[in-house]
Amino acid sequence: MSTPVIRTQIPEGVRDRLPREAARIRRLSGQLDQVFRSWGYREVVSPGFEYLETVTAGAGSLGRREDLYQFFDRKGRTLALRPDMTTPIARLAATKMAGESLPLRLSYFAPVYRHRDRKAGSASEIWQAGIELIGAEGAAADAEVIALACAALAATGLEGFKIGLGHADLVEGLFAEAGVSPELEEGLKEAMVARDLVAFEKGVALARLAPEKEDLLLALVGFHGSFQQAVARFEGVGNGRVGRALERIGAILQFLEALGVANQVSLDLGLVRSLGYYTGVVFEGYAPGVGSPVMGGGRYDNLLADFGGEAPATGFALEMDRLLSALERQGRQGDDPGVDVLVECPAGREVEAMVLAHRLRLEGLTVEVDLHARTGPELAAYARARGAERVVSPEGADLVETNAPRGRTGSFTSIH
Amino acid sequence: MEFLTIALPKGRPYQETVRLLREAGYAGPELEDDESRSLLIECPAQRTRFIIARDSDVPTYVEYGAADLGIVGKNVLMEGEPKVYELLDLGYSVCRFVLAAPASSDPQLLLNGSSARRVATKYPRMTEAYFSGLGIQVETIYLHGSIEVAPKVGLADMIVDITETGRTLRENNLAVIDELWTSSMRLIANRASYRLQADRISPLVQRLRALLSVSPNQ
Repeated sequence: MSTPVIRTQIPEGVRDRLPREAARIRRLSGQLDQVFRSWGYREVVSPGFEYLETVTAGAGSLGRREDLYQFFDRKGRTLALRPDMTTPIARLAATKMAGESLPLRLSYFAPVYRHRDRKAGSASEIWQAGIELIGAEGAAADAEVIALACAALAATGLEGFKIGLGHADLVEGLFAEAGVSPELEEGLKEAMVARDLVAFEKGVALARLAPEKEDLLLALVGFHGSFQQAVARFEGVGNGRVGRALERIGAILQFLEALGVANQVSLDLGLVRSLGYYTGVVFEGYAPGVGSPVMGGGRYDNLLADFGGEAPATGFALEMDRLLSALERQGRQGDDPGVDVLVECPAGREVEAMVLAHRLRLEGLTVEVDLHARTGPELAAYARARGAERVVSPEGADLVETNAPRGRTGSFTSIH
Repeated sequence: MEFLTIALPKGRPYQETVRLLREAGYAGPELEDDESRSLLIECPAQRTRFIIARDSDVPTYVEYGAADLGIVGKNVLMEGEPKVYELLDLGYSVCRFVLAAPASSDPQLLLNGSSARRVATKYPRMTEAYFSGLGIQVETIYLHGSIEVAPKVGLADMIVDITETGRTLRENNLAVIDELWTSSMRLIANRASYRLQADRISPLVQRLRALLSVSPNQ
């Protein structure tokens, strides 16, 4: 009987990670975890699926219900695979960690799930690493999170990345002052998320605004320049909301200047993120050659209230696969995880081989025992395939030279 | 200064595209008026590089970052929905997306939904979006070209296609039932390049915008 084809395949949008790829993402997680921990962030783990009501909290008009993977529990309640990590962590912080002193500094490494577009190759299972800073509302907190994002990206070895910085109130304030209707506002925001400037211009033209308001909106979306230029152009408009947003951005930039990361950050005043819960500063990180942001985040001061808590919060998520592909483009591929030592294991000598392997592992080496009783060229070939630096007999004598780079020389007989 | 790579479509809009880029000062004589055989052209003085591609491939070059910018018809963007930024409506190569049927047929009858109709098109996604918006169920037949022949040979009852002048439609005895959308050439950008090469892209957009407002092409 032949194996049904579907049994051997995996659904669209998900992927297997073979040892080399698994090692790469594990290594990346390790690098990020080290940075997060050195800034005082503690890892949390939340369930892969939750009630629909939880995962859709705060999503606003831009969160798309049809992108969720939904199913039912035994009582007929609707469950959904989490489409992002910020909302579950807001729930967790507002409920189970409500008694802890603030701020909470939390990190996570987890996949999130979204139905992606029909295009081949786009992922539905998206591995993210990120942090949330909960219970701090000042510019220092915003700056900490952005500086941490820079530190995390730098720690991976990524070069040439850039972080674009905007503020939800810039957009909201200008829309409010210009008198854009709610229906139109939604269309304009969608155009801003997609950065479809042609649709945005047409939408603005449809609104029949006063020419100077129209100019302001177009200037915001197309803005490219320094903070001084932004202040000169937009200060004093938008019922004070715009002014306060600019003030906040200015304060953050001063912190980032002092921390030496300001040159990695540029203003992107028309930035609107696709998730609806952002209330303050928003930002995205871009890397050369990767068409989608490798990192994104911002301030979401109202989300915890949806879970009965009350705390301002900010954070970011790194898209690990985009980050890996950016690193790969820069020639940072990571090696196949090899072993230090392969121990020969002729028939009848299994005990010695395993005891030697055990001793070498206690010394901190990675050691593998050949369980196929290979000898000579066959053993050497297997050692090369496994990236073994050395091949030794059960007595610990060096057997064959492999092509793998050699860290140490000499035999292990002395420790036998 | 780093090279800026721009993907351009072959075919009908090519000459106009070259003219615009030359006038804007972003292409030199290396980028010739008539489509040369070379698919990769470099203009060292302008620090630009051009990839000459099939129009439907232009967004792909841009989305994956092989090109920083691209120039392509809105029709291609609507059908493919690539993850790129659309920066500017360049206003030329304007064409209409139309629903057309043999001049002898009764449009009312075709669209009353009483029997399943077949629609031939090069743009299945947009065709389906249009008909599902109307609440009419049709069978979409995907063709790569010569769409206008489909009704004549009994392959389809109607077609959805782009037309600039309507001449091909008339020649094939087809009448326009409805206009779906209009399309024109757009400037698109890779999302990372838009940030990382902002110092070069932003002036280019302003320059093109200034040129277009002086000589509106519509």
